[in-house]
Amino acid sequence: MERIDAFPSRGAVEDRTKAADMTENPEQLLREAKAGDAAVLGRLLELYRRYLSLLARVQIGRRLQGKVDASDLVQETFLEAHRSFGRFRGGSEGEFVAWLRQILAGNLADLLRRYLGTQGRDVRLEREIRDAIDQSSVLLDRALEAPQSSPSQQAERREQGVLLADALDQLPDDYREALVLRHLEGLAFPEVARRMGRSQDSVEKLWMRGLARLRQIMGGAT
Amino acid sequence: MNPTAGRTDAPADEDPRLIGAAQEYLAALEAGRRPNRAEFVARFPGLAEPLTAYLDALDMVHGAGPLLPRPSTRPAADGPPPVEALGDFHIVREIGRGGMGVVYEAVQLSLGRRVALKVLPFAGALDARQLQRFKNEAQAAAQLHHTNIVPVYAVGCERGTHYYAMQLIEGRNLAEVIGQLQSRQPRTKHDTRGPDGALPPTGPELPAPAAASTVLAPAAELPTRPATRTALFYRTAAQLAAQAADALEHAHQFDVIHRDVKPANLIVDERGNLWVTDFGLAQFHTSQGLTRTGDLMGTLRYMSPEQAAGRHALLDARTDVYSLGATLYELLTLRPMFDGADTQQLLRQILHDEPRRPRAVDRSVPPELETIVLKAVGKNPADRYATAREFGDDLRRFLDHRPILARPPSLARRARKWARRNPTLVGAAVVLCLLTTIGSLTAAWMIHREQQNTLREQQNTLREQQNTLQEQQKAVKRAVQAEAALKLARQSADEMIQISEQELAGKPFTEEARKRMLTSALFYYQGLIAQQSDDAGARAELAVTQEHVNQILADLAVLQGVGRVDLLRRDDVKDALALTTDQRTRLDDLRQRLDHQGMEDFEASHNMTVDQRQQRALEEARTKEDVLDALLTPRQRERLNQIALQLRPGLSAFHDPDVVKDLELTAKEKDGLRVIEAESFLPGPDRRHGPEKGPEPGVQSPTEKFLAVLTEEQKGRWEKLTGDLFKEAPRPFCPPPGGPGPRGPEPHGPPPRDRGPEPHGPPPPPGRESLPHMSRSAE
Repeated sequence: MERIDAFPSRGAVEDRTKAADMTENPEQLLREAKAGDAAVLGRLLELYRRYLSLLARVQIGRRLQGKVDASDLVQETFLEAHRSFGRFRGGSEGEFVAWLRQILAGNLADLLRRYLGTQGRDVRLEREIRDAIDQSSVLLDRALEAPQSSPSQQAERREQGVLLADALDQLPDDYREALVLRHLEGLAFPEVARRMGRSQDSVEKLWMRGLARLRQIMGGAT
Repeated sequence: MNPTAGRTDAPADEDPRLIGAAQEYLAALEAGRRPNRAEFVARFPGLAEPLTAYLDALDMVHGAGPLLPRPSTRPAADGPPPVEALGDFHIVREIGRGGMGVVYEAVQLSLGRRVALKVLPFAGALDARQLQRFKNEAQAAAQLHHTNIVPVYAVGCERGTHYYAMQLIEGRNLAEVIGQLQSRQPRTKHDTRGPDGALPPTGPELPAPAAASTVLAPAAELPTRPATRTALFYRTAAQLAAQAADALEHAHQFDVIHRDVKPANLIVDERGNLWVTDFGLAQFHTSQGLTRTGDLMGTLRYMSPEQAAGRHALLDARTDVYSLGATLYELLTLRPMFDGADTQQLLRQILHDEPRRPRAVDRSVPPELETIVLKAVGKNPADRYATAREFGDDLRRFLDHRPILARPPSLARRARKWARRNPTLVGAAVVLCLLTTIGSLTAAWMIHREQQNTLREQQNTLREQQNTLQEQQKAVKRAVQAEAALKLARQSADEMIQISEQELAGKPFTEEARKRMLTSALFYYQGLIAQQSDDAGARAELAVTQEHVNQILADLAVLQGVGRVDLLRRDDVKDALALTTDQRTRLDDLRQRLDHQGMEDFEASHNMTVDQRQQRALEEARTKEDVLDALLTPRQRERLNQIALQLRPGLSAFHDPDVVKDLELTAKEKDGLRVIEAESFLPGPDRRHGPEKGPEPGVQSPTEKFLAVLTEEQKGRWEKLTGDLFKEAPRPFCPPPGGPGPRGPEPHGPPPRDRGPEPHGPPPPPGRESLPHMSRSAE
């Protein structure tokens, strides 16, 4: 079974700080960060770590899995966000998340390109990576298309996306895996089963349990 | 790791009914419907409570914003019609549902005519700008007047519901026709045709605008059983496709691209006329509706590679040519051209797989139609019919029993396709090309000489008047043959240039292969020019090409320099060049600037032609060249060149024409080079090509093997070219710790992400041990 490392072990630390996260007001933090408080920016970014990790993981695709680490990409994204925060003009959480997503997309494309640019001598590997790029570009397009919807919807949806990512992060590994593969990567159950190295039957049960747990966690949110 | 074992959060999940119900609900959500919860739950007595919890969770997961673009679930569009009247329209009944919305039969009250009214499902998800765009598109489509385009009567918005009204076509769409033909396929003895040989009426189970259950007129009588599918069937199919091509051509003239040509959008009416519908709406489809799995698959299946890859800005008429070709393919064979069961598989097929030949699916498909279809669905837009008109014209040539213009893929084109799929094996293809060219050139020379001989003989036999005429005729014949052979030789050289410039240009790592191809082509051109010593016109023409190739080669030299700038990202290279702190700072600034620009280029490159892409790459390369000149001392530049040569992957450095010249490699040595290279391509214990593999003690690297073949003097020159041995530092990401040997054949891994200047940067992650990709790709 291929281990998929979208949620690195920092999770343990974050669990403890999660309660604090929930009480943070992103837009308040955003204002303070714009006033020049770098520490606040760090806190603000942490709110989106799980969300971006999940997004990165889904977009990396399984072909680069194990070669490219979602958490590295997120780290890169945070560094870039620190560097370029001066250029961020928006004021809402929605705009901020869109901005982060754009940086992430750029980093991913950059990384894939560089990866291809230096390792492609092997025919099979090269073809695999091309596939991954093609697929990712579709996904990237889709992710970058989102900002076209109306601002209020964006805020609403992003909020939900971030909350969902946080909730998924709290699930046991195999529950989360089943949900991510089925819903976010859009695979059918037989394929999910294959990827998880389990029977379809047990995968469906994991999925059901994951759903039930997810509702418990998100219960207050909807 | 899994703390849930003893949890009680899944008391009822063992109930198979519950799993089935949840899956059914999910399938509905993915199909873009949101079932009525109360009704849905009521179908599962006793499970109401647990089921509700699961459905809540599914709603949550499914409505989660850009992570999972949310399908529109506006009840206004997806539920029963909210009102019986929309503005001027009175809704009579629902006649179909699809990705683009619900279609109602309606009456336009002011004019008293029946119309098909399409209510858009995505209206609620559009913002003002998109709505405007939708209106513009729909209005552009409404301007199209053509006998094969469903006329759009009105576009409007009433109480937040967006709709458009079009002529009600009574008939069936091709998806239904194909579906019906497929369903009959297994039957062999039972003819379902009616007594008069016509189709049975459309069954009530068939969805969509089958408004009239009229019998299809003979022209539309596609179906006969496959076993007995006759020439008439194929002629009808070709006729329908030609009508669709006409409609598309008309739209293209007005700059309207359909973008979603597929069987479901082609309607055949009672008289056998074909109507294309849903013009210009596909882009709304893609931005909003595509998340519904069913729709996505239905649309993706016929999507051109460039469209599937998301290169929206680059789409032109040829994307419609492709989709119509894929539709015709399915009509001819009754099988989809690509049968991928999920999105990813389908994408892969569209982007990389050549379709099965229609005649391999069904022998009875006429070869001309096969050729036409395969031309229309070329992966590369340049391989397809340039316009829908050309496509339609070729179909009509088939119908008129005239020869069609499309040709089955030639050996050369198949070779190009292959080269495109296997760019790194192009080295081998070069050899192949060379052999072909040498062969034809030799033929040309031989015939030329023969011709000279003949002329001499001719002079000798001039006195014998009787034979002269005969001999002259022979000579003319031979001269013609010689010219043809020459033409062939030139074509081969042109083919090489074409492969280099059209197929390989702009692709990474192909500079080497291009350079070799072009150098070879140049060589043959010189030969051809010498041969044409008595034809000034031909010589001038050849010289122009030669000049052109020389220019490309000069550009290539610049392009090859790019790699050296990228090397400067590596700390070990920086150290080896002893860059000063000041140089490093400047380098870092430049790097950021170039990266940023590179990112933009990468994004923009989707929308560029090959020429533009090359031009851009060339500009970038020149910029980088300037950067190097400004930044490095001459000594550092020289050292960088040496390191770059050492780090060239595999034995490619020895293929570089410059190196070949410098080392004065003999033909025999070059043969040896190919042998060693071929060995290193082979899988097995000797295979030393993978980036993950470290050096195996006691095994010679290909470079070492090859150097052993060379003379001492050549070795000396190589060492002079490469300078001191460059020691690579292990790098993050890959290869794993204990990376490649200093002069190993491995391509260098990606440069490390530069974490130097950021004070808050985390330490780089430890090298990650990754599986050898052989086993990875074998799964």
